[in-house]
Amino acid sequence: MTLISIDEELLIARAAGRLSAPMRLLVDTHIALKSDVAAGAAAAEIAGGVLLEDMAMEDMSDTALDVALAAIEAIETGAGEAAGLGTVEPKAAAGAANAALEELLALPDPVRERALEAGAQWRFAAPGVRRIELIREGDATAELLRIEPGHGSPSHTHDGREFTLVLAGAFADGIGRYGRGDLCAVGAETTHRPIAEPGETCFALAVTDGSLKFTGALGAVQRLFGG
Amino acid sequence: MPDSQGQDQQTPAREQLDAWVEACARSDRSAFKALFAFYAPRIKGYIKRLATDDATAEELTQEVMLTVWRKAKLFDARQASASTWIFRIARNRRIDLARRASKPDLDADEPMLQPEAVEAPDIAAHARDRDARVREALKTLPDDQIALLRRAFFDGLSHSEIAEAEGLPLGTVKSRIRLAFNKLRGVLDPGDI
Repeated sequence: MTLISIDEELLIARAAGRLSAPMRLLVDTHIALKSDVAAGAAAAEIAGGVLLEDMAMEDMSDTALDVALAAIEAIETGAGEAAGLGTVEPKAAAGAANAALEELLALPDPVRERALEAGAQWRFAAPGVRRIELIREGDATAELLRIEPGHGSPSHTHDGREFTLVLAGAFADGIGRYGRGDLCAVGAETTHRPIAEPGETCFALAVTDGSLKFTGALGAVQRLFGG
Repeated sequence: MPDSQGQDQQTPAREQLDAWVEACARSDRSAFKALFAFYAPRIKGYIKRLATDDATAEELTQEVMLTVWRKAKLFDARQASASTWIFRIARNRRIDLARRASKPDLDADEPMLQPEAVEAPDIAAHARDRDARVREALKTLPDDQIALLRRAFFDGLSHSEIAEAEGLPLGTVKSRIRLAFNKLRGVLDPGDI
């Protein structure tokens, strides 16, 4: 495993909307854990807004404003009916699961929200290891791993690249030790079996880009790390 | 700043733009009209940079402006300027557009429109003026760096794609964007560079 940092290309790609959903979750979660990454992400989004103000303009059609105002009237008229419909149902259902939830609630916000939306159902992955699939987009996936001390993520093969962000606890893979907030890249060629350290249960966000060669930023990530 | 040919309109002050979005949250139509006049042609310009035809660009711009109206209550000027917030909405539309083919059942949520739930305290403390500082830093960047930033932000290109499109070595593109970005980032986190 190689310890990596989120660079400006990824932060700009995030601001510009070029990341796959699993990669966006990875970057967003790192932002939640690291204030220096958060500062970079904030700079990128502010720059995007300022550059938008300076964008070369394209004329809207003559009727565009009227069309928009008519749509607004329709929204205002229908607003009462829409009120009360929310996205709370999956979260409420997850709320019933109760005790196992405590652990999830301590995780960084982006991951916690996704885990609750996914139903907060842990599934067996290997002895001492459980997982929740958070996002799947094509072959790109993001999953949350819960690894008990002394256990390791199951040995697995995949065609693409994998990133692991430590959310709580720590693990070691014989080369290094990785703690909360550390982001690692795992090449497809690497044989590794990270083991959670004694003590705290380890939680990690694992994002893989699968076998697809994505264009844009994910492709850039593949190139950055030698793909 | 370069690349602003044909701008016949002064950019209103940040406070004015923010106030218009806040007024939309109170269902103020005249504030919406003002926002529409300023942002719609720029958003359309942004969307057209993605090689979209005029009708599609117009339609998506309408969707962005209606989202501004519908979500105006979520806007918090202490967290982001109107331009940054509206940029995010336009960017999210663009994410949707990119996925429409592969994933027709779109997530109805607007990612990243809500105020950031987790924000480092030292950043939150400066939330009100960090926009102004990044703005100032952008003004000091050389034109070639600004041009590359525009490529990265608005043309959907990776560093290597930019290098190819501009006929520049990849290393040059990387170092120029890194210089530019470090300058922007540095004003938010002065001790870090």
